[in-house]
Amino acid sequence: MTDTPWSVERVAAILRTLAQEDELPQHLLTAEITAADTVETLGLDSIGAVALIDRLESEAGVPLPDDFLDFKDSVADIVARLSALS
Amino acid sequence: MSDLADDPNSGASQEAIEFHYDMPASFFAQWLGQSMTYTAARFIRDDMTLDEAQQNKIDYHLDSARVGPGHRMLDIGCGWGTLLKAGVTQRGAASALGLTLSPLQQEYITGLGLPGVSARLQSYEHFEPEHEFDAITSVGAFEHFVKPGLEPAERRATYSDLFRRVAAWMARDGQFSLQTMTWGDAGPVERDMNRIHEIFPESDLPEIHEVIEAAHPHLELVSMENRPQDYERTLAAWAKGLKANKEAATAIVGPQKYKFYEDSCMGGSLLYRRRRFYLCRFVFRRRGR
Repeated sequence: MTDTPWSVERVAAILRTLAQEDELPQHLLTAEITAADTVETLGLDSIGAVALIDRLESEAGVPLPDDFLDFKDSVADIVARLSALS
Repeated sequence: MSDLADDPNSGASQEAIEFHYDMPASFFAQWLGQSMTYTAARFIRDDMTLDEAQQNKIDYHLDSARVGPGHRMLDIGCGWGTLLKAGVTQRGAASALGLTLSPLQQEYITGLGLPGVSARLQSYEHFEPEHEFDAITSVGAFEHFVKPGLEPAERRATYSDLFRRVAAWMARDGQFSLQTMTWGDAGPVERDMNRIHEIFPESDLPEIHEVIEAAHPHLELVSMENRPQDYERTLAAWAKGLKANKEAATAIVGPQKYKFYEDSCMGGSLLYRRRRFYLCRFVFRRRGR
């Protein structure tokens, strides 16, 4: 749980951490991650998407379903949805 | 080779089992660790290695089934025979018989040439023992005993039939140690998205309550534990082992199969972390005094 507001930067930092931990593709370590990037353009497969949901869940402190993200969802969508939760 | 074509199994067919398990032992040896067991280890301490936790799992089942000197032991779904071997060499069992639906596993065990250790290519539903058993184990096979899409009553009848057989085969004072994945904290969305039926064709997982209810008429529940963290860590260790030996593993089974196992381990560990599955160990004893 944290009071830090959700932002593109925060989601990008989570994506890079997961890449560092070898849970997501390594290109995310150096790629520029923008608000318009989607789960798909970030190169996540279905396992990667669930890995991201899992980390978002522990950051948000509320349970999230395994279909919380769609391949078409953008980073901006993720920020908006998480902000609405808290 | 087998009699299964005439009288199909209630759960996964021999072909379905071969799809996941009938790869060369040399492939699994690349990543399963020393124990050569393809089921969850038991990580009872944070600092345990995979091999230590696998040995703990083996000891747990031998203790729970109370395998001792001179005993006759049965393992339903015996994999590459690790528990059979341990029963004879570590506990002094007189004989240890395994049932498997994988021809390569059966050949592997036969090839070990260990006195007292043997395996049959047979489903428990077709097994007719020549004698009682003092100890019965089943580790990571129960997951394959019912097919997807069955009504709850059909599932229960199938599970109950297994427990009825186990009770009938067991000697007085015998115990049955059972390890299985079950469904965990997974709603309709999670079950729908789950690829478990692709990973284990023709197989569906039990719920915890189904195991207990199905066993109750035949066996007395002694203890149970649910340790999803055991499979979370085991699957993560296997994924690591696969990646570290990617070249050698791919040379044996090809890139497509390699990816299947890597994804299964990575995804499985993640879903265990999310508690979509549980990992349960049940100990039962025969009724009557």
